[in-house]
Amino acid sequence: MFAWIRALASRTQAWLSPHHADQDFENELETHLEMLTEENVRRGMTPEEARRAARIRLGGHTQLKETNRELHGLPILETFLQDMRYAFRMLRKNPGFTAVAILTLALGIGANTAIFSVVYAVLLKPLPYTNPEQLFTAFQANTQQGIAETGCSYPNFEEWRAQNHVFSELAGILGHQLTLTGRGEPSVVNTSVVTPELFALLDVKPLAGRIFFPQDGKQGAAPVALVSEDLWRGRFGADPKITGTSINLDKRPFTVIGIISAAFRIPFFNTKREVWIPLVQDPLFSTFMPQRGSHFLAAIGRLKPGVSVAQAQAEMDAISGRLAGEFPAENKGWTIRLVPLQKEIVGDVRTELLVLLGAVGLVLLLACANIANLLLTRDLPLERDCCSDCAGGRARSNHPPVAQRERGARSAWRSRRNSSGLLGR
Amino acid sequence: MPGGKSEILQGTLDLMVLKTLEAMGPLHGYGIARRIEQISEEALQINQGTIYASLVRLIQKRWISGAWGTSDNNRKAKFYSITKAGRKQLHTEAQNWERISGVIGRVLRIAERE
Repeated sequence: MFAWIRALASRTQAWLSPHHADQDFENELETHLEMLTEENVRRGMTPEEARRAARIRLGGHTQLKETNRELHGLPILETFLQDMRYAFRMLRKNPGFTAVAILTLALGIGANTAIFSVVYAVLLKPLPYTNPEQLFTAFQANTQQGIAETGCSYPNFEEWRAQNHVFSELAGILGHQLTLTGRGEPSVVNTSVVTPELFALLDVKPLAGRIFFPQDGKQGAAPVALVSEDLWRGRFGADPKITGTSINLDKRPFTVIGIISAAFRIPFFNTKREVWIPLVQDPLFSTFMPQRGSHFLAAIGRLKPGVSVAQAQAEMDAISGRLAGEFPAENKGWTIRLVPLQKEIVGDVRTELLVLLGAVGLVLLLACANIANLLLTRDLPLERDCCSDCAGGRARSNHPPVAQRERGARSAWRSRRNSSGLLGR
Repeated sequence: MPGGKSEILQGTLDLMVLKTLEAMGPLHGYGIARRIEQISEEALQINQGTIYASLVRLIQKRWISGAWGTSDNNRKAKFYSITKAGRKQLHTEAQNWERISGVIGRVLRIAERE
């Protein structure tokens, strides 16, 4: 069953050391010839006669060697290499043509690569979270006021969390800047203010220490903070005992409880975050927490497995309806809008990117068409080349197959062109 | 056919080489060619060189192996011997051959009777 694999392996081996196989065969034929000659001499021929008859009996020497070499070779690979050699020869002979062809292709391929890498990063590469397709952002919208997307208030967020059955977890985020003092020079740090569920929701493991627990978000809890790997390495000199120490944010003391990997990004914040604190500890936004009419918190949710977007949206519609009835002053006219996190981050560029990708694809096609045209105009020199080869005694059948194919295709095209009379010369 | 000589199929020659090596033990190319001619009572007159294409094919499939040795009259020659895989292949091929030649024989006899 594996006979042909073994045969291929053996052929490859022989192909890599052709001289050895050739010499071996030569010796073998010579032995054979001597044995045949001896036999003929025994039958009463003269040595010359015997040798001649032996040659005839054995068959044409050159032909046998040729067959042997073919059996030992890799015909497809050899043809391919011949094609390659021929192609390089033609390219070297026509530096102008070569330069134009390479430039054209390089532009076409380069444009494609550039656009594809953007498309890949934006549209194809999954978000760096566990099961990112389950992640959604929940916005409040008010069509009467013409507001398509805005944050929610903390009391509303709590209602959403408590009343829904479609999200396995909901977390709130916002960002601002606080002044870090205590160790080293005072500096302004990009801070994420979050509800404690965020890290569990995004399945983030800390580099050291722990992430926020639900009790860290309760009123009266001890103030705690997470620091980024960059801040830890930079400002704190990669201090291995950073967890448990105290830092000051806007003059309030926070206990560092963990380090978050530099690779982690919170969705929708363009700049890197350096510190994370629970919302309840934020000097500014904690004062907004009781106000139901405020709109400062962005909510992220992870759908339960098996729940569809439509189901989730229906559930949230029901909740917003209930809230509007219960708290008409703050909630009348407000609905909840669910947007896949990926879409929220990418925004509306999807169509544009795909159009751009299509466009550069066409550019590459055009480049190929241009090169095909160039090949056609290069016609005459090739004919001349073949003629000189033939005149030089090179057998026509020995011409690289690619040259023959190429000539065939082009003459076919030319004759069509002439017969149609469109571009007749 | 002129001179009573038969053209032989490629696969048939391979089969005969295998059988010869199984029956005779290690042999050189000349020995194999002579043996096939003798057995067939000179009905098969091959260009002895064609045996080598067959040998290469069989070696590539590892059904036979070849090694240089010394012949009866002290000449360096390449000796071929059948491998285990070769024996297995010979067995299958021989059965195949029996079956096909049996079928063809029957068909030909039927054609004669009609």
